[in-house]
Amino acid sequence: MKKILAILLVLVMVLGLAACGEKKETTPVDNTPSEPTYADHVTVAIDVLPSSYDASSMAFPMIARLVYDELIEYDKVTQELKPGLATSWSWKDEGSTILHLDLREGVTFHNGNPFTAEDVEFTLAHNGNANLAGYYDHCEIENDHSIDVVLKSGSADFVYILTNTLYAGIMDKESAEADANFGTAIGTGPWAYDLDNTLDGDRYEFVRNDNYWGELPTASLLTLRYIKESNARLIALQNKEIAAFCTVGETDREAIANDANLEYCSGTGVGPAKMYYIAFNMKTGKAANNLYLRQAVACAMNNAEIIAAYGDPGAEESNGAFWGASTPFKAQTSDFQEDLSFNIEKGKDLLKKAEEVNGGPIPTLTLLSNYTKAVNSTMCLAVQAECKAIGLDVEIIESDSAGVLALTKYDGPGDWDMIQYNVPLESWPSAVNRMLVKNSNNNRAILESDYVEDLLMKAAATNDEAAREQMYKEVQVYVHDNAIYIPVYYGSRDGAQLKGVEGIVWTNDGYPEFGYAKVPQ
Amino acid sequence: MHKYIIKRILMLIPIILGVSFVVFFMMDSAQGNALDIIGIDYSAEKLAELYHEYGYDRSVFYRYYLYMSDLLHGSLGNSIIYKKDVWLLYMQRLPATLKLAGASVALAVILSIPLGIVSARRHGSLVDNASMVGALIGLSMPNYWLGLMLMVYFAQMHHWLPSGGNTDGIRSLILPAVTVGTGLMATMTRTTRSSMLDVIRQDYLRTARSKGVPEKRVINVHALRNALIPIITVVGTELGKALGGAVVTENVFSWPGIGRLIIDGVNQRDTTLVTGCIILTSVLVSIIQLIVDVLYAFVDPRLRAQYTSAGKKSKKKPAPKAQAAKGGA
Repeated sequence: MKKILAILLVLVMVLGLAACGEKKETTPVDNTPSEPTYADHVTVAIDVLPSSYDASSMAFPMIARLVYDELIEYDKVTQELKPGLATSWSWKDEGSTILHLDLREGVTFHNGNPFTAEDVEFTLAHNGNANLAGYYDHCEIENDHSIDVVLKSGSADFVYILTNTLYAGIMDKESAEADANFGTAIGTGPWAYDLDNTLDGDRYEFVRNDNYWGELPTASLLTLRYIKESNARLIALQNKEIAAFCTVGETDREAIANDANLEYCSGTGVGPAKMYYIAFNMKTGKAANNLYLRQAVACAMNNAEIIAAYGDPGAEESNGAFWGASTPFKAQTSDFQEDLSFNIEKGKDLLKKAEEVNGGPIPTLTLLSNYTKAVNSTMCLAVQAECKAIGLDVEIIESDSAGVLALTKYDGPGDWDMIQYNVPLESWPSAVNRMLVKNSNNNRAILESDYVEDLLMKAAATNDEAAREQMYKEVQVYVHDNAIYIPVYYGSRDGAQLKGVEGIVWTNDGYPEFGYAKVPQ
Repeated sequence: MHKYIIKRILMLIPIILGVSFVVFFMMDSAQGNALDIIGIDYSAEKLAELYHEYGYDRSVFYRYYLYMSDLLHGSLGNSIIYKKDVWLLYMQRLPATLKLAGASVALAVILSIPLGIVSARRHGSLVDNASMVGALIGLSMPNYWLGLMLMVYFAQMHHWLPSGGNTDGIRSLILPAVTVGTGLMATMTRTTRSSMLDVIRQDYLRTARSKGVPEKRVINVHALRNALIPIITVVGTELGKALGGAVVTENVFSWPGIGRLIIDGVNQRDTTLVTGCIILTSVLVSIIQLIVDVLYAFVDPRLRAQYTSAGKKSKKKPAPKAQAAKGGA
């Protein structure tokens, strides 16, 4: 017994001394070998659950970009369109309703099937995404490598819609029709699913597609591990179990900055496109019919303070325009008729007018928040405090992602007044349509405005740039002056990687692209 | 004995019915459903098609009826999120959960039973007090915190062990097993100690000692065997908990077990997946409890005699007599 006690005592002392010892200085990895060799197997971590083997029902593009190819590629740095599976494209009519595509020859799917126009037709018809389905009508196949895409109504932006893998990542028609669940997992991209070694909800394995028509990745195996906890992702990176991860936890930025082996990465190319906003419930909310109340809240909000409270290093404050940070035709502050910038006194005056409209004091407004991300709670608390400063009580209602989606969907119960949310907006102007048109599940304000929809449809259809700009600006002015959505800031996408890792594209308008990661051995 | 086993197996039917009903309706009462999540960017028409396909345009009772009719045909249905048979998904994750539960219970048994015995033998001594304080600390430490601390020390600071996942063999298992095992160990140490304390004062042990039986044999054979029943009960219960309830630890260590599958299913409102997983886990836990009950008979001759005599009597006489025989055993 004494022996056991003695051993235990020694163990405790050794561990205690080790814990008390000076923390080892981390030394930077020497990343300049004379002839760099790279690992054949790359493992990275993701923070979202890839829920499907079908590009059209994936919520995030990280996996889709590995497995599927787009018809047209979009260069995020130059913002130019490049050939993808379509080598050339052109509008057949003035009203942008028939798009002709010439398709790449000699491309095969992961299962060896040749890529043809029938696969394009199948993919576009199969995809239920509102951005695509809102315009797509049918295809007319000329031959295996030539096709016309016919739209329901004109859209000059449709070529940009085809650049999004989630909307138009081309699938193999034959396998998808044979197996509705896993046949859709076959694409033409640089990586093919290794379904035998994939463990759903845990790790997703990919093998290099050696028959890929484009540039081949350096590694031959790629693993995407799903690690939900942000600090667990950081520790896995510090422990070199993974080469990179996306989405840095708000408390982990300092640890990354202090670690000589790690590198904080945020988006390159187009500006931050994830827009954080407050939206009013325009259908059943208490402010739906009270313009002064919505404007009072807009004036109470101090966007700079909200950004500082959360501390997103890549944040770009919104000027009030309801548009992506890098979107053409973005309205300027001078375009707006109403000045709804931060002004407490004006907010108080507007609240008085709102009370007159209401016929008495304004009851407590409810603000819906998704508690799963700290940024949401921070923003809601800031808005609550700012509204209090003008004399308006706001109660925060928290729910998880699924709960918020259910409460705010177009035909949902609607028993809420405001919502704090965010949306990644692509760089083309009509990308905002899904936030503003009827029956769209992303229309969180549940706005039903014929005026706005009419302008959006007309703007999308015309090729007259000046007319488009005018119409899109009118939409932004309408949304701003009526305080339907109050944009707060554009947030950046971020992540971290081991120093020396090359080839990962950290984009602002989506998730990182891990397909061409090179990890020095 | 076999009648008792059959009876217990038949009891699984109401358990499955009860569990499926409760879980299905609880999942339905939560805000949101899996289709809203996978169809976040879908057009209203496409979403309506999906609602129709999965019966979400009908009442919850209709969907429960569909689910139960599938279940009666031996199918747990397809997960909405993963589009895969729930049975297959469960079986993919079961080995990892069994590994973690087995390792943590084994760790707890190996350490806690000797510690409990020593504590009981040296009742009131420094060792006893220290082990009880240790057990109290083990019980009160949240798994989430302990897991993170272990991860920080062994993975982040010293790079001795992987921080998570299940890809590095036994090295991946150590930290999650210690995290789950610490709480179990605390419970088992306390149970072993109190059970041994009860037994150690019994007259038959005094008799054994007075007959000159060596102290080691008195403790390890006569005392421990009689003290085992409550310990086995706790081991069985804790194993059941570890199988279905290591949710927090599995999340912290990204351990690909059933707990994490269920949590992800709940977050994604995948009713079919969650209901199926909970039914299978309930069956698994019930089977473990049955094994524990059967083990009693092997450990305790008095119980074995009860089962045997009850079985024999019941062949000749009606049940009340069998009960009387049981009481007299």
